[in-house]
Amino acid sequence: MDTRLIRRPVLDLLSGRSQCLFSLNAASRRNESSYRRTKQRLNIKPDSSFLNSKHSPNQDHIIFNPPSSAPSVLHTPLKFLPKEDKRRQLLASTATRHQATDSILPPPVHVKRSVPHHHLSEADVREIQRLKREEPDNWTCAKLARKFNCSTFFVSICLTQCGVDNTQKKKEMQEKLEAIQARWGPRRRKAREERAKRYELANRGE
Amino acid sequence: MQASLASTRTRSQSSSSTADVIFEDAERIPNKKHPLSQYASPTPEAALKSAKLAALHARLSLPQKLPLQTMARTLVDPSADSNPNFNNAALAQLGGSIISYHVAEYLLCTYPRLPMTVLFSAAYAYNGPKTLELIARELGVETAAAPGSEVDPGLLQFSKMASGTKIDEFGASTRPDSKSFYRRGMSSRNVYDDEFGDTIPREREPYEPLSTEQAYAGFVKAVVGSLFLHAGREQAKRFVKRHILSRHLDISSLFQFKTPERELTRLCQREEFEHPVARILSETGRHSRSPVYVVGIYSGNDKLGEGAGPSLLEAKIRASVAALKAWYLYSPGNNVRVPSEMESKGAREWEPVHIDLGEVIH
Repeated sequence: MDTRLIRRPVLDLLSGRSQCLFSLNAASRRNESSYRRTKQRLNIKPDSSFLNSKHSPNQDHIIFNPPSSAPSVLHTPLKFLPKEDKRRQLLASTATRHQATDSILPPPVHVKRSVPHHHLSEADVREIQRLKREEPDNWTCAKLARKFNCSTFFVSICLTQCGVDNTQKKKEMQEKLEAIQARWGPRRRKAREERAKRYELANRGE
Repeated sequence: MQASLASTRTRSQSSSSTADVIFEDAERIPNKKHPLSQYASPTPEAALKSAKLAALHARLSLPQKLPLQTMARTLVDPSADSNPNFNNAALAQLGGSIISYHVAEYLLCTYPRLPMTVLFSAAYAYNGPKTLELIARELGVETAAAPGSEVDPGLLQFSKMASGTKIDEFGASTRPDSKSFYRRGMSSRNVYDDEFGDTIPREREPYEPLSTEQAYAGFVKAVVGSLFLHAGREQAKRFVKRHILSRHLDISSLFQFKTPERELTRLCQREEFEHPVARILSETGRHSRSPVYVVGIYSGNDKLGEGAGPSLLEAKIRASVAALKAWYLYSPGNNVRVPSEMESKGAREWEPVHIDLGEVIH
């Protein structure tokens, strides 16, 4: 969790008003200049799935077919229920019934790995640290990663313990980055800013 | 007559026009009162004649045990009348702790896994000063332009801040490390700060003007405090339930994660679940301008969360956030029993509520 305190406007939190307003506006938008024309335009033939046909079921029961949407976070998965919870047995019994039909899991998201993982020994790590300590300006993260055929992330973890003061270097890198960012045009800048906002929203799950 | 009344009631600000009054405070407070107003706040007798006050009492459907005089006292802020026998400071102190107790027990029993930050924010959303002001305004309480004994007792009385006054957030507080307030982690907030994780301001002078928000919040707290004193525990709890806990708060919108994927991995390690794996449930338009991926996070054969996004990475983040929220928002049920229910007569035997290990540290 983020350790900052998140303060949102109380009015937004306590009432679902913003959503309601939005939906109202979307429904009551009127593009035609007269009532008759608006009505005519909205008089659309319903989708064929809504009409009764000879194939439509005649039984007296309710068909539960909700539209596809993201599952609610308030539905705790079976695995997350504590041991003493009564819902555990109920969910477990339905889970076993469903397991028989879809035992094949969907394909995993492939992460492209250009460098091997978990192949360096303790001695290699010490060697990385020694190189950095002796020639801190020469042995950069990327260079060390290329030499040892590992990721720059792994090198940066190793270098946190090597005892080299990198505040000056960090400052220089930050200045370099700012110089690059200053050269960005309006389109690229907007795209980057929007991406940052998108990821912030994703981290909030909104 | 004025002097004798002032000596019996010891109202330091009330009759400063006469020379023989002894001030309790060292410095003299500039008197801005109307010449006709004898005291700092309306007299208790005036409360019986106020239509506004009677209407407010009836509108809140308060029990008859709560007299109008006390009701009038809840509307007098210490900034209007610094005499503790006639202002609502004591009632607000009592009511504030009753409100925060009921909100805290509700939150802790209904959502036993909430992280500390979310718990603070949720408490702030339920009974923070902003919400209490909202409630007081909804109850139809209006403010008096200036306090005084000639004012209708049905109006909220406090001395208003002059426009343009700076409200400093990091003013003097009761924290011992107030000079180095950058060291404010969650654990130090637990120890030093109030129920919302905010610093407790140092004791103000009672006659200092204050914001409308604080005055309204003090009124709502004082109503609960007076209900507790006159009508009992049950009535105070009923008021809190009806006016504060009945509000809908979407707790799932209070979360903000930094590295959700890593946090979920740590959670699965801690709880000894299988390593979480992201799997593509469905996708459309992979080579188009606006693709959509639906990714599910699986631990073994169980799906923990699901998220959709325009890139695999974003969908993965959303799915991890959904899984973490599902973990933290676990609730034993809608009608969980809270400890205060045991105080009523003939209560069933207490079953221990779920107590969680705590939030994931990564």
